[in-house]
Amino acid sequence: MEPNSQNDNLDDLFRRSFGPSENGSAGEGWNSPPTEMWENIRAVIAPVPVPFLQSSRPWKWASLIAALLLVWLSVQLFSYRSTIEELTEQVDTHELRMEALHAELQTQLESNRLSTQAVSGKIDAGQGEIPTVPTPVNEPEMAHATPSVVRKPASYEPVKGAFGVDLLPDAPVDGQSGTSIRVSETIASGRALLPIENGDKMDLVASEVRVPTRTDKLIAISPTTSTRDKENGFYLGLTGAPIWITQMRNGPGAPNNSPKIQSRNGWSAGVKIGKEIGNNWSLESGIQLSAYYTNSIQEHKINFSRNDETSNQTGGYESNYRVNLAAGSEEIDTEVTFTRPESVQPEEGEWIGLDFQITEITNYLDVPIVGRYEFQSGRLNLGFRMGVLNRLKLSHSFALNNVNIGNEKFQPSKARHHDHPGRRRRVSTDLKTYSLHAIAGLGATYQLSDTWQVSLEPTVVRSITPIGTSGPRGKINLEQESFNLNASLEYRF
Amino acid sequence: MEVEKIVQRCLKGDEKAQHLLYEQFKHPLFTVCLRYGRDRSEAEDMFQEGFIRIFKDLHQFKGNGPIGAWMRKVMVHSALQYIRKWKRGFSHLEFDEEYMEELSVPETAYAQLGAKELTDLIQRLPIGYRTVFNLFVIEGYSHREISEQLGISESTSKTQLFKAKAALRAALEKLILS
Repeated sequence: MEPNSQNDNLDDLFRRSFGPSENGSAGEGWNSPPTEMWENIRAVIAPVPVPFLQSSRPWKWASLIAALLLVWLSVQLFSYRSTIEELTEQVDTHELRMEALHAELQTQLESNRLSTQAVSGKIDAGQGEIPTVPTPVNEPEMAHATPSVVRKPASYEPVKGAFGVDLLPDAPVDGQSGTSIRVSETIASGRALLPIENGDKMDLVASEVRVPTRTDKLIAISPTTSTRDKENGFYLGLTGAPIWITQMRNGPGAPNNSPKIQSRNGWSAGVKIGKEIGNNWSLESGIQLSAYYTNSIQEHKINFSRNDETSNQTGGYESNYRVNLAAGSEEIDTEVTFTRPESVQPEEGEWIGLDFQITEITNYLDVPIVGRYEFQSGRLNLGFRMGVLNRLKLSHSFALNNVNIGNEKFQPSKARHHDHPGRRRRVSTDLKTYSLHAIAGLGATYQLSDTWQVSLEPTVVRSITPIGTSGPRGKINLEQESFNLNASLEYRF
Repeated sequence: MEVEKIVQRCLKGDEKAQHLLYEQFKHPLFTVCLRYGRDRSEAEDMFQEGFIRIFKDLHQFKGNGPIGAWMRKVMVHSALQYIRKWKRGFSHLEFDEEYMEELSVPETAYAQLGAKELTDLIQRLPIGYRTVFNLFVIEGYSHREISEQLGISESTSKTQLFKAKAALRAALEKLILS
């Protein structure tokens, strides 16, 4: 047969077998697709009822939640303003009363001064000089040291530079009562012989004269009673946390029969708003952005087979293997390609290690609803918190970066991410748009002032509902657990 | 039920009609995929992607010709897309000298071969030979169209076709003589 004729025959042969008439070809087993194929296709093309919380983009829900929080905040602010007006009225009333009391006090002082001058006039002929008696400072109990009737002392021995420290179990500091340390510095004190009026005579009586020039500094130690409104106050805060995450795969087909798949880390930052509801309980919510990162290496081993090789342009051989990777939140099929020169002859079935470098980043919008309890009502408060975290997935990226071939006989060329889009739809990881998590943790708050406080709350967050499902070999539930070290700066109204 | 009615019901989202359409065309379209894929697994991937594409693009079918031809065209495009996506570029297509023996096969011997055997032969061709051969000989594309589809030159397409045919003739002879 001539080449051209051969070509025509060849073309005819294939056209007859596979041409347009192929449309009517019957199933003979070899050309029948797998029986489950229709189910796979149907699963993709069938309209899936969209769950309520997944019916829209996450940012719409975030906007709605933010709007609700704003409304709540506005109501609280309005309520706060009413309270302020009431308090202002009370202050005005008190100011008027204070002015009246002040005027009365002035009158009494003037009266006392005149009385003192009258008595002093009687003892001008006495000996010595009356020491200067400054006004006491922060020393209420010394008020008695200033006699209402002053006599000229017979002698006076000043002592300077005395210093003392004592503990005051209940001293007012910044309007709060509690235990304080008092550091006292006395400038002068002494003993004097004071002339005391005894009928018509003047007797000299030895007496301690403590010249109240000491200055005290009170250092409050916790706890001191907070003056803030524990029943109706509310607070706004900035919060942030480093996060350590463990993600688990539970279900059939979990890789290496191990439910724990990945540790990773992340951070969160956001704002919060809380309201004190009495009995040391507060209820708080907020909005936080969280980012989770994974940089990991997934190790795989395959058996070398010459059947998987094809010859390449350079006289060597090229191997293609499909590998199923379960990494982070993803489960993918990838194809790895590597080559060997013709001179290298690996054994059939030889182990080849494949180390896949994987990066995954997931961003969430978190809306916690938390009850916070404080054991003490002081400046430093310990307590606990518990509640739920509503988690909305904002974005998710997954990258298979590189693959190292752990067998020097082979030269890695390029690992191609081969994710079989059509097939993956039925088995791919479905990270849920919404997932519910439980929160529990301890907390410590320190009141910097009446309005500002800081808090540190080591907290565990665990998924109540799976964050996603995946797996070509059946449903694998992805569950997440994290340790968050929340630090907050709060402003109380 | 007539195919046209099935198509109309498919467009309305009728699941039963979709299944009917699938059942009616699954064998010929899977055969197409078997010819383009390296193995059955790859053909299954192409088939699934192709059928999903068919249902998604069904509204674009204007009824100008048989629905089967349109579906086949979509399936071929989907297979090419798959190949372009996951395989290397076609500028360095594989070539194996062992296929290049000149052959002399009795013409009557060809008639003994069925579609299965021919499909097996095509699958064993390197990807470049296989794709160009399928497009030129079976789908009836010109070399210009193939070069546009695959992003290669017309001369490369011609060379690939020549080598594909030579390889097939060699393989056919081996098959028949054995």
